[in-house]
Parts: sequence; structure tokens; C-alpha cells
Amino acid sequence: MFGLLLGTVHRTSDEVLVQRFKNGDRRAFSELIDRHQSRVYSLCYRWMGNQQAAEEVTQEVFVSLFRSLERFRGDSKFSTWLHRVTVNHCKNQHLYRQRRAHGRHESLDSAPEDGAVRQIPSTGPSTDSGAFQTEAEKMLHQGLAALDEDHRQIILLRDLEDLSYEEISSLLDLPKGTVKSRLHRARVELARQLSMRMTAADVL
Amino acid sequence: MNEFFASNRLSAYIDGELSESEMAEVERAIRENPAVRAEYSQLMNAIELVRSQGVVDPPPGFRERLDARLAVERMPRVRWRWIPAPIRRMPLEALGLACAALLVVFLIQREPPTVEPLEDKEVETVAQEFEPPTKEAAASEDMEKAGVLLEKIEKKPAAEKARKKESAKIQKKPRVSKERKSAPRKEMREQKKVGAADLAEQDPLADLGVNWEDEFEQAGGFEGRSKGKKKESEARNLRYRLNVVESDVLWQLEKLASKFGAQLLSSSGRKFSPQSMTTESNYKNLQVKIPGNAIGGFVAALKELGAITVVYSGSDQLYGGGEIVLELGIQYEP
Repeated sequence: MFGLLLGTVHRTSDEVLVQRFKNGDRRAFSELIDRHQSRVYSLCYRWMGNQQAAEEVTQEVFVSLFRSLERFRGDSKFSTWLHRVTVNHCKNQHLYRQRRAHGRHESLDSAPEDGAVRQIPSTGPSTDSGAFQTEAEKMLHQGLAALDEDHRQIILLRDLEDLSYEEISSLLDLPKGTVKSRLHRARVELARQLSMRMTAADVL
Repeated sequence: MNEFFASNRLSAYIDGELSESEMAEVERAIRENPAVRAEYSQLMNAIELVRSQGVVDPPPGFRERLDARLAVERMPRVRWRWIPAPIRRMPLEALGLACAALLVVFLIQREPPTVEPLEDKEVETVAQEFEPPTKEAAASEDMEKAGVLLEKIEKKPAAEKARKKESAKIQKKPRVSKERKSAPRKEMREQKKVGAADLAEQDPLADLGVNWEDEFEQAGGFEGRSKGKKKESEARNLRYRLNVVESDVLWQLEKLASKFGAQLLSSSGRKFSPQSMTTESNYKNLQVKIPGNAIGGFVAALKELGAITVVYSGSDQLYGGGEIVLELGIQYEP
């Protein structure tokens, strides 16, 4: 997917744009946003599970990027660095939402007097109505939501973002062997979740 | 290859992360083992499903909302543009450390010179005994400088400053340097070289009307003294008790001994100085070795100071015409 975004052959590299931004060219940053916003938003959307949270996190990622880009030394590729920033924001936002939801537990027994069904806030990725075009897509979303965060993260990085084992290893600060084994366990678990949901759908 | 080994490598096989031999073994396991083949099929379906997900574009208006936030972010940057870029880019921790280091250096630089307070009597003694005019002026100047520094630090009203300055002059005095201490000693050494006869003429107490000979005779004097001839004979010994605080008395005693060409000795006969005094026994049986013709003036001077009283007279050896050993019993009154 990321490869499709690379576009024309003569396109200015990310690193050149970063250098231009450091030299005071604000349009360079605008170009970086144009180039990476869909990729960042996609990852946030898959991770957070709804449009509103995905947009919040995506905005935070670019604001954070704007503040810290001057300190970017170029030790790693800009895209890898941006991935790391995005993943960290997704993790933090997810943790924050979990805590907030945990802090406002409500009793199911105290039903409203008007008899309306109360919406219990979900701590995992939620589903936007109409956001999924197919049943398979919805099932995938639910399957990913059922995974541990580490497993969801590594599947998104490998199979959605198409990062190599080395890139994931660098991004998550994990040995390559750990990436390999964790990815295998995550895929097996996702396959199991999807299989369960397909079986249930067939029964219905 | 067993089933467990193959299934654990299916994911790496799909990603092409195995060696050629491992790839071949996993392929064979998929072909020959139905359980491995089923697991491979499940994994491939899940992976294909994830990979089939396209890019999700941000919702309409996302870019405008993001630009609005970034516009706010840009504002403070203009304010700090006057700071050089290298400093602006420094992490806050580094800036904090640098500021702390500068503050420490600044505080060290403006620390006033050390002024050690002396006890009142010591101050008086020093003031009386050590009077080289230029050094006194220098000391006074030092005191004023110290006073000015104190004023700057405390930032008190002018009247209070003046009062504190006066108070500092009385109560504090800068540490006496080695040069300053050595000056009076040099003076003492020069006085010791002067002969006994000259001392009688130079007796600073002569104009006080003290008749040292009468005093000496009254205290016992000595017998068998013959002009120009050394003769050992019996004589009265003078024993005195010093009444005042030990340090003060010893300093006065040293001063007088110097003026009368006498030498202070400890009970063991070693040269004694108040500075070398460490224990009470050092000065309890202090001896003064003094020329015979200066004894009266010396005793009278001690009496004049009110520092000693006669306790008793006894007998002791006398070196007629030469020097007399005077024993002083010193009572320590802390």
C-alpha cells in the first residue's frame, strides 16, 4: 500500500523536504502532510476503529511532527520515524481511552426510566455504522479488535503497512526473531478469530 | 519435518523469511500433511483479507482542521526566533543544566572574602600589640571592603548599613596573614639583641614611676651580688600567681619578656611561646629567664598590668650578675 503512495520517479525525497522545513520552508511540511496523511490516517483508523478517534490521533501525530521535526537527525528513514510516532500515539490514545472507560463503570442494573438501551463505551476498536463495505471487512475489524494490542500492532505493520521484518524490528525495538515468532502467533490468533466468526455467520 | 516444526514456520514461509532448505521442507509438509495444509490455508485467508484492505482517506475537512491547529502551533515560534537556532533546538534538560552551571559560577564569583571573627580580648591584644601603621591601615581598608560587601549582599537601609559597618569593625577582623604575624616577631628579635644596660634606658615603664629595685628587694632580692663577677649563691625566689585569663596573660608575658630581654621557658626548659601552648602543664610552671638588672622592672610591669600577685617567696638558684630564673606559678582561670 505504501508503495503505491510513492508516486512519480522524480518526486522529492522525504529527507530533502525535512531539510527544507528545517531551513524555514513551511511549504515543505505541507507537502509531507499531503504525502503521508492517508497512510497515517489508515493506520490510526485500523488501530482505533472509528473515524473520530482516528482523526484526533492523526492530527496529534502531525502536530507532534511539526514540533519535533527540527530535532530529526536522519538516523533512520523519515517514513520509519513517522511510523514510530504514529504507533506511539495510537498506543497512548488507546491506553488513555481504556483508562477513561474504566473510570466510568456504570451499573447495568440501573436502567434509565424511559427504558432506552444504554450504550456501553467500548475500550477496543469500535465499528462505525456504514464504515465497512463488506461483511468480510467488518469481520476482519472485529477479529483485529479481539487481539492483544501487541498482536494487532504487528499484523497492521506487516500485512497492512507492508513493513519488512527489519523495519518492524527497528520500529518496535525488538529482535528480529521475536518479530518473527510474535507475528506468527498473531496471525494464528487472527485466523482463529476469523474462523470462529465465519462459522457463526454460516450457522446464522 | 514434523507437524509442529512446519506449522511454526508457516508464517515465515509465507513472508519468504526461511532458508531454501527450510522452504522446501515446509512446502513438502504442506503437500503431505493435511493438518499443516489446513493451517496454511487459514493463515493465507487471514493475511489476504488484511492485505486487501485499501488505504482509507481522511474524512472531508480533515486538512483544513489540521492546518488550523498547525497555524496556532506556528505562532510561538516567531516569538522565540531571536534565540540562536542551536540553542532553540536544545532539549529542555540541557538548557536547564546549562542555566544551573551558570548560576553556580555566578554565585562562586560574588562570594565575599572569608572573615573570621575573633574573640574581643584577642582583638584588643592584636590591636595593641601589632601596630605597624601601614598594615593597620590595610586592615582597616579590608574591614571597610568587607563591610561594603556585606552591605551589598544584605541591601539594608543606609542607617542600618552604617551601624553594621561599625559593628563589623569592632567584632570582626580579617584573618591575620603570615606577613602580619611575622612583623612583631621580627621586632621582638631585634629587641632581644639589645644589651641589658641599654634595656634599662629603654625601659618603657620607667616613666610610670616604678622603682623596680625596691620592688625586687621587697620581694626578696638576692645576696652575694658583686659587680662584674659571676658568683653562684642563694637567693630568694619569686613565685607569682597570674590572675587573669591564661591566653591574655601569656600574650602579655611574652610581650614584656621581649621588652626586657627575657626568655620564656617551659618547665622542661624548652623555649616557650603562647602559640605553642597545648596543655595546661605547658605553662603551669612557666619559667622566665631574665637579666638580673631587669627583674625589678619586669615584675613591676607585671604588677602594673594587675596580672600577678606574689604568692610566696622561697629559695632557688641564682646566677649572680648574670641571669636569674624566675618561676611563675600560673593559675588557669577559664
